[in-house]
Amino acid sequence: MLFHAVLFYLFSFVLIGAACGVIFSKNPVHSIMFLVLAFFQSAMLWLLVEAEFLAIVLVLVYVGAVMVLFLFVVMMLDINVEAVQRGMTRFAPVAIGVALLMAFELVQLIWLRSRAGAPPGGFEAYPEGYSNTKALGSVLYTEHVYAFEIAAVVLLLAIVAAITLTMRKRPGLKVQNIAAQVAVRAKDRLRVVKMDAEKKR
Amino acid sequence: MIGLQHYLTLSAMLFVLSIAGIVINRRNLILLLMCIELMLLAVNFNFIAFSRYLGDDTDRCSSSSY
Repeated sequence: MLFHAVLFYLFSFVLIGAACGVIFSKNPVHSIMFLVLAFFQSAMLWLLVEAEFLAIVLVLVYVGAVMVLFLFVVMMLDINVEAVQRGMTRFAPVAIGVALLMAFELVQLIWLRSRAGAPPGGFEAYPEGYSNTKALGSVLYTEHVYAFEIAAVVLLLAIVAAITLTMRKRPGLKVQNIAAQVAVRAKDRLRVVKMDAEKKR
Repeated sequence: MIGLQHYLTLSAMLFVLSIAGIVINRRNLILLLMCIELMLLAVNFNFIAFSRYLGDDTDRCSSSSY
């Protein structure tokens, strides 16, 4: 248990440090690298609460796909570093004030209000042979199958909308006319000519 | 003992940091999006901690679909 606590505090401190790095670093590429570090630390912390599937998915999907996409976008856009620095000095006091106020309120809510109820203790242990992936799947595909399917349809809609928004008509582009292709009949393309058979010589 | 409160506190700190990041980096759209990602991460911490606390996998489903 002590080992567990030591791991928790280690990963948490690195996570908070990485989050600070995301916010305060001057270079957007460094921010993305710090964000990758934050995601890895979160995956470790989720492993500590036995959410193995979500931890692996976080690493695979977020670090593997989304962060690489962010890196591509940052390197393509070539963001001006000087403008970011100027904005930082102006808004920093406001941001720190808001952050401290919210942190105070949330910590008060979590720690002081919970003292009246159950005392802070550890999580209950899962039974032997518990599989997080299996439990997740058995709930996701039975009880919440409608929500799951609706989410899938909404994602499909988003894909179609994104493709439609980025598709533009360019002049001089040679494309198929699908309607004309489908509407064509055999008699438009093919002419059967009646003629006498050739005589054998 | 590491319990629900520890995870909620960590999540609250992440959330607060991301709000500070949104205010600080509001000129830069990419950094803003990254702060929103951090905020989503904090929300997922809440989901997973509560799922572990309550022993209910429904929370985990919602966190797997973000």
